[in-house]
Amino acid sequence: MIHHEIYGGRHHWFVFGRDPDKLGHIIDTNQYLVCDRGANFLLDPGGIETFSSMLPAVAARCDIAEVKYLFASHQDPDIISSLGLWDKAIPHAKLYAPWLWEGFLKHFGCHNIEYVGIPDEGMTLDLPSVKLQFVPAHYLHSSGNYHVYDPVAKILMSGDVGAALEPPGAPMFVDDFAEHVPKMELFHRRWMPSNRAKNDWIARVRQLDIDVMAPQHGRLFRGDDVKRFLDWFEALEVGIAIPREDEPEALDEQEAA
Amino acid sequence: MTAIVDAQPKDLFASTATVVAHLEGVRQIANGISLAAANAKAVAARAGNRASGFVPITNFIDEMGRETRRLVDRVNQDAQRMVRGMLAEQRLGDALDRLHKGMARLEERSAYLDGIARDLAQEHQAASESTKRHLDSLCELLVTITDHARAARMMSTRSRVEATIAGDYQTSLESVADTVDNAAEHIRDVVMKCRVLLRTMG
Ligand SMILES: [Fe+2]
Ligand SMILES: [Fe+2]
Repeated sequence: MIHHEIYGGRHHWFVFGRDPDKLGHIIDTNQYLVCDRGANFLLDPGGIETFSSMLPAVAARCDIAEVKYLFASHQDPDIISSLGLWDKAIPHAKLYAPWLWEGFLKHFGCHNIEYVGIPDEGMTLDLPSVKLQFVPAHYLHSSGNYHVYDPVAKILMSGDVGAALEPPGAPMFVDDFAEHVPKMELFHRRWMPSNRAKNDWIARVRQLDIDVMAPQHGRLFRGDDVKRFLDWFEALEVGIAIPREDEPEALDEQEAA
Repeated sequence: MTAIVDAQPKDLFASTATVVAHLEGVRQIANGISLAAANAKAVAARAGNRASGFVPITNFIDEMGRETRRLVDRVNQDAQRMVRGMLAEQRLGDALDRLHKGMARLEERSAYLDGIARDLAQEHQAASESTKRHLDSLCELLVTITDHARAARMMSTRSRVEATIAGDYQTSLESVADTVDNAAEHIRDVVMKCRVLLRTMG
């Protein structure tokens, strides 16, 4: 599991991913860790199959015993099916996750960890150096979904928004936005169901000061690429990736993708 | 029924489910025994004095049918509890395995994780011992059902002797004895297969 520091100040952000031990048939994921003087916070910790790689990677960056908080942006297995394992490794921790998914996520096994349901409007989490914000991102793509904004590090952890499907070993950051677009297009058109939800989210996110946008799959965006992403996403029609027989053009486009 | 009995599932959960399915069959046979006992009672009542020796036998057979059903219900409940325990054991075993894999790659040893792994191993051990206990108790219950079936066959032999002095009612009473005998033999066969399945699990 590769790990990089993406912010270093009074607190630190790390990204974990491009796991060389990952089984071939499962999607590659980015996991994030915020270390803040004994209050460590693990974001979208990943699936069951990622756990054995994540554990030593996290331990290399912080004291596992001091991982006090977990976050699940939504309910997908690649996000949080490792919950039952973290429940054994860090039984004292709290999980911040959508209130909507509590009864569902507990199927992964949550006997020791305390589930804190994030309300629809979002909430904040106080770490020693920063007040993190859980920003609503409902229907992007899950009906109960949040992103995490750090106003000090100016990082937006954006879950599946900004995700790209890439071959193994891709670099951590986008270096050529135009070249990156085809790797994101089908994913966003298919997985994101609602233009209205998308536009609401864009309006909300444009008000944030963001240096790095950090999705759960593929590369991270920094600097001007964040704005380029928002503009591109705004123009993209989503929720229409299933071709209809009465719309032959849609079928053609689908085949081209 | 035969198709299920002859299947040889290798998986623990499937074996237990198969046992439960077989025992549902046993329950139905036990119902049949109670019905046969009721019939025998009716015949004995009509036969009057000539079948007086038959009455305690029918009472016994009736009681046996009821007891077999009670035992089958207990086996079902215990089997459910055992499956829950086995699931917990499997989950704990998997967690332990994944924890060990992760710990093997640590840059330096973590006393904290050592402690977690130790606790988990103990929990796993306890779960596996509890599965063994459940399995033993299930096997004991099955032995008890077999004992009942054996007693029923002995009773059906006694019934035949009593039937010989029942005059006109001899044939009816003999047929009751045959029904009980066949049912008991069938129960014994099915339960034997269940015991074999559970033994291969233990
Ligand atoms: Fe997802
Ligand atoms: Fe995802």
